Amino acid sequence: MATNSQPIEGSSLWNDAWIRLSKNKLSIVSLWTVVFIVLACFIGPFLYGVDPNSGELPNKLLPPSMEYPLGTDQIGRDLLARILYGGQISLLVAFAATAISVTIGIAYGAISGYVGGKIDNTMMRIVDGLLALPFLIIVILFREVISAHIETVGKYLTEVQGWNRDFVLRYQNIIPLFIAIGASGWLTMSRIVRTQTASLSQLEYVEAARSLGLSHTRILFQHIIPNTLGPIIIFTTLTIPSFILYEAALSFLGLGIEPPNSSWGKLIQEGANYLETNFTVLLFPALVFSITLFAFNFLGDGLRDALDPKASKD
Amino acid sequence: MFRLIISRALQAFAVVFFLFTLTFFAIRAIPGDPLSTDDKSMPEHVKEKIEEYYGLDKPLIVQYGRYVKNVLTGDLGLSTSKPGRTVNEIISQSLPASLLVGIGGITVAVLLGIPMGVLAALRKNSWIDYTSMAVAMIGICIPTFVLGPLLQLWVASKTDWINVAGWDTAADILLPSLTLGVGSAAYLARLTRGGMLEILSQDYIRTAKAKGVPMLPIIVKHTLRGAMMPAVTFLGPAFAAIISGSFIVETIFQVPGMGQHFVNAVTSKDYALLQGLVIFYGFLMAGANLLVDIALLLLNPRLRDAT
Repeated sequence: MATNSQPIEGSSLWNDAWIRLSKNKLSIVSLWTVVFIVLACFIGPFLYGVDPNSGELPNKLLPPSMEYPLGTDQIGRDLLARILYGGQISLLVAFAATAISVTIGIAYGAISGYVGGKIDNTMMRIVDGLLALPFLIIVILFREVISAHIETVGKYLTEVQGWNRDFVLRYQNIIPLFIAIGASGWLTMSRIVRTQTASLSQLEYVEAARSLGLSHTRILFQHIIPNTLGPIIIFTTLTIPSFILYEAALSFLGLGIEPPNSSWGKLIQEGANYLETNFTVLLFPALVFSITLFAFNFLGDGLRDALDPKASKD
Repeated sequence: MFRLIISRALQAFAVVFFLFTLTFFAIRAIPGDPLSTDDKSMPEHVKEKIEEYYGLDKPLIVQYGRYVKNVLTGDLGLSTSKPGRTVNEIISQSLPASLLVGIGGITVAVLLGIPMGVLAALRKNSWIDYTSMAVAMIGICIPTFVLGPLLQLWVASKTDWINVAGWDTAADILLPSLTLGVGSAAYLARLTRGGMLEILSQDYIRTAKAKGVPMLPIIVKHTLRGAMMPAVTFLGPAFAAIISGSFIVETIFQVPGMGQHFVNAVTSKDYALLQGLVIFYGFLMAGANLLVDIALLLLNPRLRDAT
């Protein structure tokens, strides 16, 4: 981290924060839950070794048993394997979208806050305007436009370059989704970074850097952005669950993940259709999904208390 | 204050215009000719009418100007998946159902969220506080698309007078409203609690208590008005959440509203309808945000002086 390059005296912000965080039991439990879920989704399928896509119709909608720990879905596929595999896509989409939105948000906010004046004002007005629009509508609109373009690329790759069709189709479905979510979800982050940057660039050490003749890029990236990391980390942790939620909502509507891919949202949608025959097909995906949201949200709250003790409420 | 409202109204107009332009160019950026359809079953004269209506043979900027003119005269365009129907017709037929569910959702949110927040704040750190905040957290983390099916299973299939889905009897509004409102209720409860706690710690409340004013008038007359500020501010985003939520809730409960048309417009690639609906939603949102701004000005005299 930024502070490790100096000879250490006393404890750094990050050390303090870690100590505060580890005293908060709820946050630590959440942290381990997040780690467990991520590992389970990405390494679990190899250990478990059951194909999420093979199933036999006679075995459909079975309750949990020794053979199928969480039962089977509507065409007899193992539900646990599908939840792990679906979680991979849910998490991947959320992480990729978060990476995009954080990058845009930091760049936009930092420039706006650093430049100041009229440009700053205009840039923030645009953000205010965009924030006034229903997020889901913008995401759906973007996804539609991006999908159409990615489809053209996909066609080229399969027909001209001879790539594997299943492989291309699979990513053709996922990529527009996280680009659309990420490209629409950076607004709040840019506001947070702007506020921080605007106040930091008034400080003496930035003035000193300026008078030393450092370039603007260097001042921004070396001296300002590292000092806004606290709020950025907090907000990133809270962005991930909201993107998981959006991916699920879109998939539930049939505007997100499509077969052969699967995600928690898709599983919940399928589960909802077979609710009356077997309640567990909805219960288990929904449970894993909600626990993940809980864990990320509590972790985010804990990080806020740890990194920014002044801001903690009550 | 009047000037402030005018400037907010202009801002709202700018937002709608921005959304309008964004939608127009986003949809035209889709490869091919997204507004005319490949659907072979569509009669040739309908196709021609759509092409003529949107001026698809003309340059983009002319199309844009034409569309601006149409929208300003209140004409949102022609549907391509439902030949012969205008977007205006589709909206006017589906708006009532969406409006009822939306109002229902907001009612649930306010009636459930605000009392819960007030109670939690008045009995801070008691079991009432903890229970209502725990319930609020669950309400935030359980999404509509899980709650909806659960209500269908636990409530609708157990009672005779509530249908699992559909839009035939008056009771059909209950479950969609509840599903839609619970999430916002949870946020409202948390915000109201926070607002109440802040106001209750003010000096003037202590003064009122010292003067011997009973608790009820203190809450009603001195606390609620200030404490409602965060909650009223949230109503803008809540309205957006209600619109997004309506897509899901209308799909689950088969409510014949705009949300369903929006989702269908995307799946059937009816971009003309999609475009019209996005702009209409933009209008709704801008109007709602304007109302929230005015409400805030009325609630907080300090904001009025800040001009």
